[in-house]
Amino acid sequence: MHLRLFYGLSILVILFWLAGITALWMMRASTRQFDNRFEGGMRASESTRRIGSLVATLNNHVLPQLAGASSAEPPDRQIFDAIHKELAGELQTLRNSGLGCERWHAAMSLMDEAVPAYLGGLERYFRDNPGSPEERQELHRFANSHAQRVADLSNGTLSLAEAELRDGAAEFHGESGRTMLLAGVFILLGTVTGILVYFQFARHLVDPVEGLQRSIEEIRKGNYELALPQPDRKTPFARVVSAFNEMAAELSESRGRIDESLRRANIVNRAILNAIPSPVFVLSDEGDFLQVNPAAESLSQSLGTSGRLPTKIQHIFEQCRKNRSHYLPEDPRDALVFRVQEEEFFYLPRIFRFDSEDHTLSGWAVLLHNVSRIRWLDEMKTSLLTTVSHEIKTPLTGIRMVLLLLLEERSGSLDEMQRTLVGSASADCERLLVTLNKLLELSRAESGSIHLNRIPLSLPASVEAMRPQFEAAGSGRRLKFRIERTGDDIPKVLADPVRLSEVFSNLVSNAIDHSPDGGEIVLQISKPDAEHIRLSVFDQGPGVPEGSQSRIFERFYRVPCQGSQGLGLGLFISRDIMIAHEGRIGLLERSEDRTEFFIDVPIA
Amino acid sequence: MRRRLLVVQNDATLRLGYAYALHDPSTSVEMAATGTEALEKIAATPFDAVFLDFRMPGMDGIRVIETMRREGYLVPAVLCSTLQHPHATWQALRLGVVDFLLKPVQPAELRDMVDFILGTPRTRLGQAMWAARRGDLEEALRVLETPPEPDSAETCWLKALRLIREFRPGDDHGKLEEELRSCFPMLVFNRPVSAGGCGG
Repeated sequence: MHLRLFYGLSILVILFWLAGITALWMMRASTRQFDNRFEGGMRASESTRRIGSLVATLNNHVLPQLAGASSAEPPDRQIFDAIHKELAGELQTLRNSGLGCERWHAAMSLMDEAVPAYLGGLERYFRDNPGSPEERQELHRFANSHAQRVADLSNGTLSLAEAELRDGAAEFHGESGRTMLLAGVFILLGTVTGILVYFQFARHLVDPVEGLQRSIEEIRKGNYELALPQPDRKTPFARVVSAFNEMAAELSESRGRIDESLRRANIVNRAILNAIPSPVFVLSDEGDFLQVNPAAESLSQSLGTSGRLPTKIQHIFEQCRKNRSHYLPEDPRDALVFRVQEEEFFYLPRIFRFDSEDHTLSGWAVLLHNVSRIRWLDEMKTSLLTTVSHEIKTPLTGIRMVLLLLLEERSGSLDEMQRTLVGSASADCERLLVTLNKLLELSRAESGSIHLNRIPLSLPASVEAMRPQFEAAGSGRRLKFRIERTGDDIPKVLADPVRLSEVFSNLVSNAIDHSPDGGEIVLQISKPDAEHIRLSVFDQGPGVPEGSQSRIFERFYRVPCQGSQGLGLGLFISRDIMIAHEGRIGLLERSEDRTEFFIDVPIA
Repeated sequence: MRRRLLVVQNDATLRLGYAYALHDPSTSVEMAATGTEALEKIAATPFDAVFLDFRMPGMDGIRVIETMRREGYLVPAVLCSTLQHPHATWQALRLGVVDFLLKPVQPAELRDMVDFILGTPRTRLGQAMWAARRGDLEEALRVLETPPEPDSAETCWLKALRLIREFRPGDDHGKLEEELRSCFPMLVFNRPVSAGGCGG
């Protein structure tokens, strides 16, 4: 292909070069020839006029002398000699004029005869100086007639020179015409070659490329079935077309396989999504719906939120998008309530961010786990727990009273065995009462968020008010209490005083339990951020073992080997109370041999 | 003269236990299972003190006290309650009750309470309570307002009595109740050394 294009274009270039060079050469030759002829013609014309003029001048000088009387003195021939010499020069010029036609040569030979004859006659006059009137008259006539002849010849020669000029000009025009014709022929040939090259180029290169381009566009649109027509000859482009068609076929096959695979994956996905009873929304990174399962569609329709997430979920989702983090709560109490057809449903929103390995594809899956039944069971359990605890507690208090009265031995003394038995029963009663109280606390905490009575209160004042109680509890172990505050301007918090005091008591009670005798417990009030006031409880105890740190807030969890008498509910209940307050509770890393538990209470 | 006490408690065992604990040669104890029965007994015979349980089916302890006061019986009342009912404590305070027992109650605490109410006041707090029980808030406050080093119970009582004195019909109950909340544990006779913390 390259070679063909090279040949075509080379011919075109050569033709244009030939046309140009030939035209230039011919124009140059014509111009030079015309210049020579023009110059010769002009010179001949000039010399002819000059000869006529010189002869007339000489005649005008000689004729009066001849017409007059002769003198003894020979005539002055100075003018004659000068004109003679000049005429000889002009004649020579005329001969060298370069005009070469036959008529010109004939005229020149006549001129060559006439001028010397004229000059010979006059030479005789100047040399001999004839004295007789006849001779002088004869010479007069001779001079007159020859001068006339020379003048006639001069006119004739002049006419020839002019004719020669005209012929030269005509010939030049002719030459120019031929040159133009030749150049035109070359240009025509060049144009024809150009057109041929264009059609060849278009046929062999542009058309296939355009076809290829159209095919690529079709492929881009997904039409893999389109194949380019195979050129007849085995040109390089034929190989391209062949390769392209093979590629299109492979693409088509590959697309088929991918389509099949995608269809299968889609069916599997849909089957999985359909099988999940919880509403599932799959969203793009921008928050647009990619897929929803029938449960999600049904929920959206019931809530009137088709095409978008329910508002409560949307808020959490926006927060997740902002932080680019999952939201995977486990606790059914974090569930959101939705009212569908006059019935309350609790959904635990679980928002998961997914990302492809190369991070080019990402999105969000929102699953609403229906925990209504779990919640119902949980509430039933709490309610049952409360009822049973109360029902047991009242008679147990009576039994306890009776046992205590018996142990007082007011109306009669007990024997040793009786005292031991009643004492043991009384101790069991006390333990049972403590357990029942904890279970009731748990029930209260689990329904705490509903019954919270929050008011603005001063955290330092609340802590200060409870100080005597803490000191009394720690007095048996010689524990010292110190209350610190970082900064004087501590804003009020929004909290339920009774519930908050339960949390204080729990943290301080734990600190007391784990402090060494004579140790110091520090209650520190600070402002960790713009929205919370923090109460930290520091103790000098051994701290929480690392393996237990993540579990101490779990229900019924007790740190092993610490001999704690509790049920493992204190921190759990405290956590619930703090969650209900929209606050925080936590254990910080141990520093300076001190353990730090903290609560963050929202500022009012 | 024998002391006459009334125990109002719906649980039979506890009622008998209270009565037995309080009973001695100088004290006679009557029992009532319900608020209505208690009111009938109070109307029939004067008592030196009445022990009431807050939680009772039908008429609760507060309503019994309310009815007593309305009918003009100024007998000292002892309310047995829990820390979970601060609202009841506030209502009782407003009805002139200044003696609270935190459940579960020990027999000795019952007897100590009787001595505290009916015996000669030995401490400044006892004197103040004695005055308050008679409805003399000013005297009670006067006693409490001039302590050289008021202990925390006195401070709490001072605050509580001031709030009662300054309370006017139409004031926001809830607001005053909240102001007193952190003091409640300190107002009970057998106040806890620890508010029930548990191991973590």
